Amino acid sequence: MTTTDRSGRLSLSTQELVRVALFTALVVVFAIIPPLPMPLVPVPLTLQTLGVMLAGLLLSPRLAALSLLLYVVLALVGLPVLPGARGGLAVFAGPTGGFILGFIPGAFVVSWLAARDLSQTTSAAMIARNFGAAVFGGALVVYAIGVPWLAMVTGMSI
Amino acid sequence: MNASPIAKQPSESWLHRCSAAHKLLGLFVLGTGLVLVQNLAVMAIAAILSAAVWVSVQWPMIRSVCRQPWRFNSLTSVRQALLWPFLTLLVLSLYIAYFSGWTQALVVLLRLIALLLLALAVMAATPVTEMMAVVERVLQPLDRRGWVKADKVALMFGICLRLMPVLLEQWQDIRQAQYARGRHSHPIALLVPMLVRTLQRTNELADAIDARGGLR
Repeated sequence: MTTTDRSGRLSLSTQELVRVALFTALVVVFAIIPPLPMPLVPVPLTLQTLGVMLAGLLLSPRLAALSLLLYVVLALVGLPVLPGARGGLAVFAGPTGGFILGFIPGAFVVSWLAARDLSQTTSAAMIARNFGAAVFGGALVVYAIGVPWLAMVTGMSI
Repeated sequence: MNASPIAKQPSESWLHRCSAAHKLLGLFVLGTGLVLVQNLAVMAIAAILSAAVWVSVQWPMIRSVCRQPWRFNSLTSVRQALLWPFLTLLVLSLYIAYFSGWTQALVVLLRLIALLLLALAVMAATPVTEMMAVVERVLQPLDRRGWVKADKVALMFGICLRLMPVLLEQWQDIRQAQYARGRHSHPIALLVPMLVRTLQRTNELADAIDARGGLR
């Protein structure tokens, strides 16, 4: 389990560290598989957002955010982990940079809102809640950061 | 995995010989600086200069394409690196031109071209391992203060890089298995086995690490 030592620092068990890294890899795979560039919208739509939602639903809030932080660092360093095998600093200066940074709080919020305790609720209620959490965190939070960034970079008004 | 590490040319350019930390710092400073400038002439000069940098770094590749233009189609990494971002830029500047006028669109277009080419040049001239080394060095001060453990971060990087191709293969395996059973890209039929197998792999990997002494 996640433990925090006396200084309040997060210390990961082997299991958690591996899980974080594997979910990062999963987001990368989902980003690479089928990019669906939408006509007239300069932001590619991919399964990537699904990866963010899944990381949020299956990891604790801090681990989910850590996993997506690792993803952003991989992209920053220049590995082609973004849709269309892109990567590097140029992406963050470009129109889609905010969406990628938004994944970090997005995954955190999904995980924070998600229901995990199976004994507490009926399965229908749990599915509904987790679906809501995924949409709110994975779409709304990501767009709340991505869209102003898009507007800032391009000088468009929202 | 074909999409992963873009084939680095063994050829050396002046930019290959600079240290990775200097290149990243330079890119960061220029990136911030260019976003603050709104002047069209400055932007045009910046775009031309960074185009010159990119051409000087990629010269061997450009020369081979000019000699054998039909090979361009086989250079998928180059096509992906250039075509898709520029298409995005073009659409974007049309948007801006519509909403805020042509001058603004031109400034944004030139700025993004300058930054894009500069970043591409740096990426082409810096191996990923060197980038990783820079990340680890940046984390060192945080490590000393006890905020992060640089070696654990490095291990996470390593696991992630190693498992990307493995997971991609796993995805393709599952998809082919579903095709063989006559199911064509049903999302649940693909996602559930993908997640279960990934979590199983996590346990196996963690056990393997622990069996070899684990994390300190």
